[in-house]
Amino acid sequence: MTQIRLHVNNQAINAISPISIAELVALNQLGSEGTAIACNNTIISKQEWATTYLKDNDSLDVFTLVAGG
Amino acid sequence: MLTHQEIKRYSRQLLLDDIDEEGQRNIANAHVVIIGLGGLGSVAARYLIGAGVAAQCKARATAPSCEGKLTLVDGDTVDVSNLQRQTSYNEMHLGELKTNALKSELQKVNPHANIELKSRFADSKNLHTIIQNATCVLDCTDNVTVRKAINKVCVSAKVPLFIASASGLTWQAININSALNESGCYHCLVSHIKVNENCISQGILGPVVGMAACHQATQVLLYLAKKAHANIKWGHYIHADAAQGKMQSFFLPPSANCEVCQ
Repeated sequence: MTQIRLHVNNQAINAISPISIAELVALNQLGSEGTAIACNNTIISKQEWATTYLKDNDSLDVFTLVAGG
Repeated sequence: MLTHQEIKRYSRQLLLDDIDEEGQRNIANAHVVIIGLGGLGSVAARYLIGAGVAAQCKARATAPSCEGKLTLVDGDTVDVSNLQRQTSYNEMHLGELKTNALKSELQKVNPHANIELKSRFADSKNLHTIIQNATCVLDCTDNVTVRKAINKVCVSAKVPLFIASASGLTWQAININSALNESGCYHCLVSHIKVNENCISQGILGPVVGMAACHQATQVLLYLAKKAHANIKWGHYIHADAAQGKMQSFFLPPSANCEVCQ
């Protein structure tokens, strides 16, 4: 187990590696209706949140998809 | 060769290397389909007609045959609550089909524009016919079910798709070109995500959806002018916060299990 530093919406947080996106979302209550996540400027499909493991200094952007027009 | 009148009309954009005379002809000859004529579609249509989409067909009997066309698709009528953000409509249009109302306003800009109306809501049954022979499609709708159906038919037919959306103080957009096979599609993005459906529950500020429509129209014009050489990005999801003036761009890779694009 190693402590890593992550950047979530430009805010630094510490986490214990190994940690997946799904685990990070659950631990920090990041998920809500319509949540999408990009890791290092690439969108990660929700299906892949559980199998995508984060590395030290990874940068995550958490945002809400909208569909109105 | 553009006519003297055309050069005068489009002079401000002809100065751009991204348009030029060849691009202007391409813009006029394109068949553009706009699905949804609300805050996105009604605004984007005004910019496209102004820039010369479908412009020359009826104006130049002696010109080479021209196939340019703007197809407007919506089954909705103009409601008073639309006037806050759907800037092509006014009180005179209340109760009128948006297709008819918008066409009459667009013809005030260019009476010779070749505008086709499909006054019905797009769905998975009629979309194949609607996008037939389209150069590109603008998804200006307001619900995920129809957006998914538009994405599916455009990916299947390899028709470039320009998507935009807005809610609250946020607008988002992505250009999808399945012919390039380099990035994901709308289904890759929203699969397994429950997306908030419309702007009624969340509210929307008029200029915010206008920004999305302006972005969409810009991308479409650049694409139409230069096609494969257009200086635009495919498969990058734009997320913009209008309050903070912040815009981010994220690459959307193809999802390995996507039932639409893989």
